[in-house]
Amino acid sequence: MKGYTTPLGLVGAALIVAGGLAYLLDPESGSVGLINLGLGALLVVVTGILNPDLFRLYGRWLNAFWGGIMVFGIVVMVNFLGNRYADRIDLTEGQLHSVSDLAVETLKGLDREVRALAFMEGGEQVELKLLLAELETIGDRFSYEFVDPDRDPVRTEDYGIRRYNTLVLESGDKQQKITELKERQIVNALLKLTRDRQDKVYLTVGHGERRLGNEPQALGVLQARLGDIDYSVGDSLFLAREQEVPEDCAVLVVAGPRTPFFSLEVEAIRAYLAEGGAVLLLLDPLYESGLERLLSEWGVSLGDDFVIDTSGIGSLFGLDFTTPVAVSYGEHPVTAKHGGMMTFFQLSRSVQFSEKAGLEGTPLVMTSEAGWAESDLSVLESQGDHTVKLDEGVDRPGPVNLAMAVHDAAGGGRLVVFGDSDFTTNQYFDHQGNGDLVLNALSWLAEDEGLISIRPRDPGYNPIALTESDSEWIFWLSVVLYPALIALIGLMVVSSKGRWSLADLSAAGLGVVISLGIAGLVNFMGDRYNIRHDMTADQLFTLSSDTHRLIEPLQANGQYVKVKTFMGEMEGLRFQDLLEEYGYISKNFTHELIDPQKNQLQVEQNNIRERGTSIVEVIVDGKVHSERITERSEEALSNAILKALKAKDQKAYFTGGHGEAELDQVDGEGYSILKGRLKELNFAVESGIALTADVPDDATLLVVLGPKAPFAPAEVEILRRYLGGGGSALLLLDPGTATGLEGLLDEYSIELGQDFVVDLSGMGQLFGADVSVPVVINYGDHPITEQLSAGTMSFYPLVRSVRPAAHREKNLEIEALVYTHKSSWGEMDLRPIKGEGGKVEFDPQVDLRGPVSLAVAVAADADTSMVADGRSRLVVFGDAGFASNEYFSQQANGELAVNSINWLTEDEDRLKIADRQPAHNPINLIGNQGSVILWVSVFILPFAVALSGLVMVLKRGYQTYAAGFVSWLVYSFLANGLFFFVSGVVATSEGTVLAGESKLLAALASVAIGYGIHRRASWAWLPALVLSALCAGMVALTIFTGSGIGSSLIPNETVQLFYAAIFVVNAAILLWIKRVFAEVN
Amino acid sequence: MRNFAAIYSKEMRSYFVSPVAYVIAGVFLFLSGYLFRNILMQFNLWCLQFGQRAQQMGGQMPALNLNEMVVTQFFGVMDFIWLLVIPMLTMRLFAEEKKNGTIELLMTSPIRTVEVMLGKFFACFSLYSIIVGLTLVYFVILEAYGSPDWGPIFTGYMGYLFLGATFISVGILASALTENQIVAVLLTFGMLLLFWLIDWSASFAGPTAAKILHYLSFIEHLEDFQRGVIDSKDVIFYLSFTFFCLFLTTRVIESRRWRR
Repeated sequence: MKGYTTPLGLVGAALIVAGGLAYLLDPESGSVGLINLGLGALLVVVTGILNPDLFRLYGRWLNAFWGGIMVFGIVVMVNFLGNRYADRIDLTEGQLHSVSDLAVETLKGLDREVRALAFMEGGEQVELKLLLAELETIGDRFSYEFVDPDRDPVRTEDYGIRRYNTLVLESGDKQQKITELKERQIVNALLKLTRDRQDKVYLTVGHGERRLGNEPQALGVLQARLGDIDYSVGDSLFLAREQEVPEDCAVLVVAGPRTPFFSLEVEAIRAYLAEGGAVLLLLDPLYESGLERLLSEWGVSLGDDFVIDTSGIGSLFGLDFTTPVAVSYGEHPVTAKHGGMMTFFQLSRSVQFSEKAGLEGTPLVMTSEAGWAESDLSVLESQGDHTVKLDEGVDRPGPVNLAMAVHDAAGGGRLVVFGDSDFTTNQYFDHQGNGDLVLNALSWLAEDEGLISIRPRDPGYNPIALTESDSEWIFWLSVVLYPALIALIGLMVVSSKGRWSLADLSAAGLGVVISLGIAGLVNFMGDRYNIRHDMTADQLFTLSSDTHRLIEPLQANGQYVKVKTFMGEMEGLRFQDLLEEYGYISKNFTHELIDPQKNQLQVEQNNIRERGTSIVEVIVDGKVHSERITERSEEALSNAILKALKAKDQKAYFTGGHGEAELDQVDGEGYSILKGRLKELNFAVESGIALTADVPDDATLLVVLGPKAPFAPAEVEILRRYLGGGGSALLLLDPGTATGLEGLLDEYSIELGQDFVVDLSGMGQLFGADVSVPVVINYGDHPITEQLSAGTMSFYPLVRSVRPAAHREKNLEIEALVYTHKSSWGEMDLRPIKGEGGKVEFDPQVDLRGPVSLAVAVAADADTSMVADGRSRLVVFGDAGFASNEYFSQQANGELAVNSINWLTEDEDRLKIADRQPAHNPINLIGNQGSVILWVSVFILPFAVALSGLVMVLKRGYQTYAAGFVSWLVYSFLANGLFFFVSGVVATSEGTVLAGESKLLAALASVAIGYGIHRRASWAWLPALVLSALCAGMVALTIFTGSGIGSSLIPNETVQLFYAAIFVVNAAILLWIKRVFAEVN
Repeated sequence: MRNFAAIYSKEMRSYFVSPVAYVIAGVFLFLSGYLFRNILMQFNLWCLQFGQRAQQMGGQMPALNLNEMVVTQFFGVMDFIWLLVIPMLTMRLFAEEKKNGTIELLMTSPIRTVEVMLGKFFACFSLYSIIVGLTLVYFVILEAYGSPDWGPIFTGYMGYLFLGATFISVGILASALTENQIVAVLLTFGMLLLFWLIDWSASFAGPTAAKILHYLSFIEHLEDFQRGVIDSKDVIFYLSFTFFCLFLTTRVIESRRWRR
């Protein structure tokens, strides 16, 4: 009888625990639990009566149990408390003790009470509290309070808080709410709250200045930072139109103009400064600003140079020596806080100051001694390998001033001039001290000195600064010397055993050298003469046959193609692959990847405006023809090569005999500059051809340049045939003269206005001209105009309107290129320009209302009766003068002419090469396919391999593995018992009596069987097998049918699979080691 | 030839009778299976999320390509696992013989050093090939659920065989240099990793040096294979590298004959 008391007592104890837990989980429906509890207690009591000795034993067990509970409880408590009352001691630099300079200044300067209310979820947040507490200690006008929105709904409602973790700063009746709880945001909010001013910063436009925006070269970040502190920024100040700086302008910013300001605009700036205005000039080298005169009045002279810095610090940002890095600053409010900070200026010019009465000038930024101002600008402009060196007496030696601040104490005017604008752009704003420098300069200009400071960084900003020699030294020390030293010590220790003689060593060394040489040779040859085979289905890495035809003959023809692509190593990987493939076709094709950030010099030399630009150079007989593309595809590249290869055949013919303008004339009215540009574009120019016979077949381009007399019908017929046959023509037709071409142009849907355009916007005055010189800043959507830098002007001395007609006789595309301002019109009364009197006045009945189109571009299908296919191209301007020497290099005029010629002579037989991109080839796994893959690849395959190894090992002995399997079975059945016990408890607590009790029963059975297996008792074998089969079968059934007992037991499909697998394995093991059970009994 | 066969089968036996082969294969397959599955599921997720959009946007975003985004990715991570595993396969080849003194028996027997070396090399290479071959299952799975381009898969495996041969030759050389297996593992690992990362330093080097460093890089030559292009220069690189290491190995082993 006594033998059964132990299990009886255990069952009783288990029932007590099960019942108690079930009751605790859900006291409402706890009757079952209570019954179990009572039953368990009864069983324990019965056991006690039957076998009192057992209790003494239990007593010890209970002791141990309670001990465990206590320790567990303590651990939980410690963790809970630790979490609840977390305090952080922050040993990292710059978190606890370095509230930013700006914060300190702002708080100290507070002139009113500011109160911060933090509406935090749960009423507190440790980091914020630390920060606010730190801020509270500075000055004595800042206080804070934490509010739990859930406990204080009234105040939350009053402040209109919509979400947790909002900080409200309040002063008087003003409030600022912020949700990003960083120091910078808090300080900015403080500034907004306490500053009673709202300054406006104006950026000038119209000369290719930097704009606001998100591109790397724009000023969007500057605008955002100014906005943070309540400055507003406007970038629409077109001085040429406004003619004066607006009243509300706090600071006028001229950010990197590309074309000179007009005297009228300069006058406006001069007047503004004289009235005590503030101007920030960011003037890049190479570009004339037109402000030089004004600057000299202010004692500032701009160097016609660019600054070289050989200190090597620039290399740490991946920049070359054209980017001076400044570490020393002048004594001036702007730079007062900059000590020890770095600022850098990509391609800067020098800025000097000479004493002037009443003016107080201070240099702001200086390069190191290792810098100088290089006056040989040809280095930047020529595409060659020029080198720079400090020429005594010519170049200005370092330290060089890069910026000046000038204060007119009497008039109040303030002026800051930088020799560079890059440092303010989005790309470089957040680097080092750059952003602070420009913000501080603006603050000083706006007489808002309280804001001058070094602004807080976002946490995690932790740069390192290495010069080139530093990094070399690190390389040698860490990669070479240090390991070599260790190796040497090792060698000495080993060789002290004296196993190697000198002869042995040298023999071995010679062998290594010789075999290395052979291996090297083999690889060299292999690299030179390689065969490639593309196995991809879409032939992704095979270039088209067109490209092959283009590249293969290079070597035979003695031509070389060199492609320079301006992009980073990790950009355009597909294009890089393509370039490689080109190189495999011919050895005469080479390519070079130039990272624009590291090679600013080359970027300037080649005038690269866009990342990803490629320059294709074809070298034939020592002559170089180059093309550039921005598109990164095989089609673009092959066509560029094709065009450059063909470049030598291009011919431009100029008509003659109608009083056309003189090409070789070099004065202002001549067109020698245009001719020069044509030569640069690989054209052979022939002028003055009479249209008596057909235009020569080799004509790439026909130009009609401002004829004074009309073309005869026969000549027009020749022109018609030329165009119909796929020719390209550029017509520059001045107003006031009959051209005889109206009919021909009409066929191409071009309407040539018999008028001249009057522009009342008044900008013509800038050039000393009257209303008859329209100034254009609006361009059509066409390849010719899309490359023009935004905001650049072009202008047309005496122009007629040229616009697309409504009718279409040919299959053609037509686009207007340039539009005048809407205040202009096409004046039909031509008398004023002929000097016959008359009046310039808008007459809505007759005149053409602005905006007026001044030029059109047409591309039309060629006449099929003459040629099989091809396209005719025609560009018509209503003016020739805009391309004359006087105006060619002004503003965008020349660019417009060159672009037109480029478009007109674009190759018609462009290679059509389909871009091979990896195909769209997705996969869609549905339902349990994902888990099937998981099982096959992660479990079944590796385990099958590992198991086969196990079988090999198992062959060695039965006893050893049987013991292992027995303990595995014991553990799995005990775990199964625990699992059933827990789910039984849950079931009883939920009130499902039958399921709960049966699960508890199953738990009991499982534990009992486990015990039996442990004893290797023969009675346990069969129940174990049955239970295994039941468990596996039950769950397996659930997996396949999707419902059943299994799903209530284990909701997760994967776990079900796992569970079933375990019991299948268990059954197999039981069958296998049956012998063990028999042997014992 | 008979000698070669004898050494080869002895080495193969020692791999497959002991748990070594199974454990390495099992662990390798587990890791690579896990990675394969994750890469595939990630790709599947993208397909679900961006599938529609990718087609609409055309060139705007990279095409959802099974080969580029699963096969190439998988190859890319698998070679790194091999970098860790191969030293374990090769470490004992000669080091153990030297430690146990059995190398003297081999040296004094009429078997030529080259035969010993080749036997060991090919045994190790066979084991490697078998394990690599087992991963083909993944691509069968891919074929079942999608339609991968088998060209790059084929070349990818080719690349693996060349890469494996190179790795193993480095491992054998290291094993021949020492009688301590841990030293052999570390030497192998160090050399492999160096050649693995060597083109990293190319971005800081001069143009000519950069070219040479790029050329010496193991991955640089694997890239073409993984993309689906077979280039003779890559084949020559791997084969000559292997040959060079194996040649040095025979020299090192033979040096025992004349070293005091």
